[in-house]
Amino acid sequence: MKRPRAKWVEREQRAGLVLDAGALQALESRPIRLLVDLQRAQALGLPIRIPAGALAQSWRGGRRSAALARLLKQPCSVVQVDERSAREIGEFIAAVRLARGGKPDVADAQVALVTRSTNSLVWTSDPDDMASYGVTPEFVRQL
Amino acid sequence: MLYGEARGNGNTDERTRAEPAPLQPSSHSFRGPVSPWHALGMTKKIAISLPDATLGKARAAVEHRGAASLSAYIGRLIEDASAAESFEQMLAEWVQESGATPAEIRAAQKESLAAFERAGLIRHGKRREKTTRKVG
Repeated sequence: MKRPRAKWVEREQRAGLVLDAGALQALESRPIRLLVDLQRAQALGLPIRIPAGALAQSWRGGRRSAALARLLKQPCSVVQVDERSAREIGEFIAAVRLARGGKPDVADAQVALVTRSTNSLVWTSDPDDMASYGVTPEFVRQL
Repeated sequence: MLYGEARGNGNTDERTRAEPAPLQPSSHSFRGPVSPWHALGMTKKIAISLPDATLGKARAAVEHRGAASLSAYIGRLIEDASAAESFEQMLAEWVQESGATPAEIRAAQKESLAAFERAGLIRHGKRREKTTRKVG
């Protein structure tokens, strides 16, 4: 499948790390493999991106989101969804062929679109979801 | 930055960032070098020396990247460096809290390097890391 070039990532397409909802929730338990990847990205000056949909899925507020709240204060980027990007996510969902019975998930689609558009490495709790949106295994890190 | 992408630091509104903090008496002595009404967010004029080439780069950056002034540009660079420093500290703290053994950390580092190389984030055999970092 042709790699999508979302208009809203034209300004900067630097590869980096993308975290999905599972990865964000996992931060509370300090998974060493993910932490080491974050350290490496930080040392290399690579962007760390948090798609807004993944943030919404994982944010619980208060003490349950303490680690995530701390991460958000760091130099990482929340990739927001506005009208323009929402349309692109919709077009992306329409373009991919989900596995039999697979229902499109907007948050997963945004994670996959950001990952593919920037050639980034994505941390996910569900690599099958990423595969269904065309993210190839070399770009996937599984929790 | 991506379109629709906001920087972290919990403060995405430039206007909020530019607002000075409310005036309040400082804890410094009236006889001290700092005015008692010098509040956080106010600016202080200092003199710094830069090599000509560095100053030229800074001026070019102000001109082409839309910073309000040389002071604003240098101030932003300092803020970014501080943020990166604290990110490094936070991650080091989390690695400690993970309870991972040195062997587990080494294994994770090895796996991470391979994954970054596989994804093309680091060229194989040519690591772009500024320094070799030891975790924990």
